[in-house]
Amino acid sequence: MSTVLQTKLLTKRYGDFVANTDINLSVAKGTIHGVIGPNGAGKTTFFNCLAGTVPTTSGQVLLEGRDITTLAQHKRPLAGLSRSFQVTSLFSDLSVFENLRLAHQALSPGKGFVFWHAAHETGSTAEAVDMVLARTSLIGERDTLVSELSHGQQRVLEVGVALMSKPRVLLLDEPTSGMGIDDIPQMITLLSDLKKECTIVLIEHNVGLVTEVCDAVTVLQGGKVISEGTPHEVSNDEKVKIAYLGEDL
Amino acid sequence: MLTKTPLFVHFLAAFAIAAVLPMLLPSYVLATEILLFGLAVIGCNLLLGYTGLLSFGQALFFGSGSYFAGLMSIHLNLGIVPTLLITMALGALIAILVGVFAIRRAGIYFIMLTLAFAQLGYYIAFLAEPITGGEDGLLDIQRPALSIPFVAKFEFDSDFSFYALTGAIFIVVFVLMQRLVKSPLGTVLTAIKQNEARAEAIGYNVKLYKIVVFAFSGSVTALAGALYAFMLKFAPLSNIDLETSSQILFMTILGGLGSIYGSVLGSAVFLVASDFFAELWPRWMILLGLLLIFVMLYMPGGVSKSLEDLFAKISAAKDQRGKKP
Ligand SMILES: Nc1ncnc2c1ncn2[C@@H]1O[C@H](COP(=O)(O)OP(=O)(O)O)[C@@H](O)[C@H]1O
Ligand SMILES: [Mg+2]
Repeated sequence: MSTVLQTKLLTKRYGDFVANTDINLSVAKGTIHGVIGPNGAGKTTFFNCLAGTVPTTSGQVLLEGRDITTLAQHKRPLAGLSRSFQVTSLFSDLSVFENLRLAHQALSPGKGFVFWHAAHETGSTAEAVDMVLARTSLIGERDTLVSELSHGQQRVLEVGVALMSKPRVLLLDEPTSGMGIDDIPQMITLLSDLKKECTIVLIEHNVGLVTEVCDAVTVLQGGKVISEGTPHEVSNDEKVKIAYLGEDL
Repeated sequence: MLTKTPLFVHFLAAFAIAAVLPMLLPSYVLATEILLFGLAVIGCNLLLGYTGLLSFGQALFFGSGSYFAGLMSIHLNLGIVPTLLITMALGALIAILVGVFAIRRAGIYFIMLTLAFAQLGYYIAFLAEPITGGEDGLLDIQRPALSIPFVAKFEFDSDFSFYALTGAIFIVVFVLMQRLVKSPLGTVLTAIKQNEARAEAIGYNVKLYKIVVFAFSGSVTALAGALYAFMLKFAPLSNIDLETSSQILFMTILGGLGSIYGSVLGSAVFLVASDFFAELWPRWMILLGLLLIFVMLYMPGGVSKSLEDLFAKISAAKDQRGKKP
């Protein structure tokens, strides 16, 4: 299987604090790759580096063999990489449709600078949005303001917005965070469905979910990789058990 | 909802505003002032209301517009259209320069940078006395004429003819801005205002968009400043001072953030109130201050939002009555 996303000795410092230390990660094409670890392990920081949200201190990020370490964050969706956020990050006073439409519009370079005609809300734009609405089961909420959605629906839209850019690699930061037990199966269905068309890197706290959907898992602790393998291998690793002592694995 | 309003409706509305305004007011001069400050407020609203950028230095663009247009009319005599277009281009250029530096910082530091640039502009205008007239302002500005070769030549010497010119420009800019805020660009600006981090993450170069909106703001505000100088036939130093910046900002918040109609309303309420209070009492600035405090406290969303709410209530009440047997 070929590698679509790879990091080499990726390190991220905040002042004297090292949030990520020499992380080597290889994500195989077409898989769901879990990144787990206790709170503060550096998982979100790692995603921020992958997505270009923050600059890396040293090391490399390769997307389909291309070095994107210093590629501006706003250019990465077009390069095939997009992300969702652990803390819901949407345009909350806009409709569900408009949130998705904006992400679609961003894909045509230069389109956002057009000021002489009205924004497209029909035709291929509407088709693209409706497709994501359908697979995220938000079709009934097309014109609802994001601030009026339930928390679970917002979490799904959070993934939906990242999906709009038709990524080949999708980074999902705890998509189920704050979701009720009842909503989680919906997310599992969505993830399994997405796996058919893109590679997913998934930060997740819910170990049940990780075991169910992930093909491979990397465990971070204190900014370092402490274990790697199939979900089964990792959950039997002593180091992982110790890392999670006191937390509910 | 206003969202789907066709452009010609905005055109008719702008036309109606320009046509009715002089009938409601004691003078063409006041009506002219309201429309041209309305343009300056639209320029401020693009930044603050649509993109979430609080600029405390709008007078830099307004005052520069006054000086550029005034100097061009004195030294070059190009006619009104080229004069105003060049002024707008220069206004955009200055705004881009300010934008490029100011957007490197966020929040308070951004605001202070816009203020600092405007103060810098003020001192340059103050010190460049041979060019700008310094403290006395730039005197003897003539209103350029509009000449259409072989057809006609329009002069704007009377209050009425200058109002007609301002009105025509107002209508054009008003309609263009209504288009802009609903365009792809306008939607990106709204996205940036609501969630900058996500706008960047889905693929927008937020910094570049901010610079672009500065350019639009600068050019529209410089246009307003040019019209003001032509109205006064004089470009006072005060056009580029802190008070002008805060006045434009007040009008913007007074009228309502993120509304082109509100922009005109903000300018109108501010100027009519000033005019009215000034006749009432020599210390009228105090009354104006009180009015502003009242609006901030009790009319969040500005006058335009309060009017909208009022209309909504009235129509709801009508519906209620309609339902009764
Ligand atoms: N912007 C930042 N500045 C300083 N420290 C940070 C910043 N972001 C994260 N950290 C620190 O990095 C560590 C890892 O955080 P994070 O990546 O959010 O962990 P996780 O997602 O695994 O819970 C934490 O100790 C956090 O305080
Ligand atoms: Mg995290």
